[in-house]
Amino acid sequence: MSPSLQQFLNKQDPGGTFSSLCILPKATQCEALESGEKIVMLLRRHIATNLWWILLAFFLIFVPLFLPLLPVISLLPANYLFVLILFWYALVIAFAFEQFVMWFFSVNIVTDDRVIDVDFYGLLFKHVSVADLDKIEDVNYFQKGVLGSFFNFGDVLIQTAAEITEFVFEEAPNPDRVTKILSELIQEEKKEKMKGQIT
Amino acid sequence: MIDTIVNSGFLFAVKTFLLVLLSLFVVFSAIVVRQVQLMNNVLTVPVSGGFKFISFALLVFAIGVFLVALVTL
Repeated sequence: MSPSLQQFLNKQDPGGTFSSLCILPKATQCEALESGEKIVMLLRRHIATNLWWILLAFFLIFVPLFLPLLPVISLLPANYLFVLILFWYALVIAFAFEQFVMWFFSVNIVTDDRVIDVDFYGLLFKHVSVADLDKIEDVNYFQKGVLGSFFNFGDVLIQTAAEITEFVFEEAPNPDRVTKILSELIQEEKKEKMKGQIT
Repeated sequence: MIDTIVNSGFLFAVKTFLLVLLSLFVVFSAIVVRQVQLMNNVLTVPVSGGFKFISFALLVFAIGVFLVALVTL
């Protein structure tokens, strides 16, 4: 990575472990990385996209208060009600945890050489796509909806000349900043290639 | 009224239903433990151990609720 690019990246807000946009994240490794490859940017969906399940989990916490109002439930002995409430809270915790890890681990990684898209679908299904930076032809983004405009997130579209012709960083935070960093990296990669530094 | 319900086998049906659901939940929690392990392999972060701990805690909680149901119902 050239000093000017390094300087440009150092000026960016690095973000924390739970941020949806981390620049040069520390102590972070991905199994898809090759030796010597460095993570430049790690993206998740904007944190505001988690609002729906946080609110839902919050409301589900209060559901047991209304259980005795149901005729069938009100006839159950206390020990049955106790187990039912315990089970309910176990389900709510599991739901919230599942949603959180899905958000946390479904990432888009930009390294100094490649773009890696890791998606998890439900339990035990994952999809990993990779494209070289020098194969990227065009990067653009679009923002949609009220939430996207309000919280400043949108989809970053990456057109490539590789087998997978399009990458989408869905609901990425600060899409303008992401696009700018990606463009800088692509330019750098193309310059290096022209200089014949890449074998 | 409650005696009628107990005699009709309603409580037995509820107990069986709850135990089946809870055993399925234990299996689900075990899958979540495995899923978190796989996710940690894909992306290793400083808090990976925390996720592992929470997934195990969820499994222990699920087994605990199942055992409570088995004993108290």
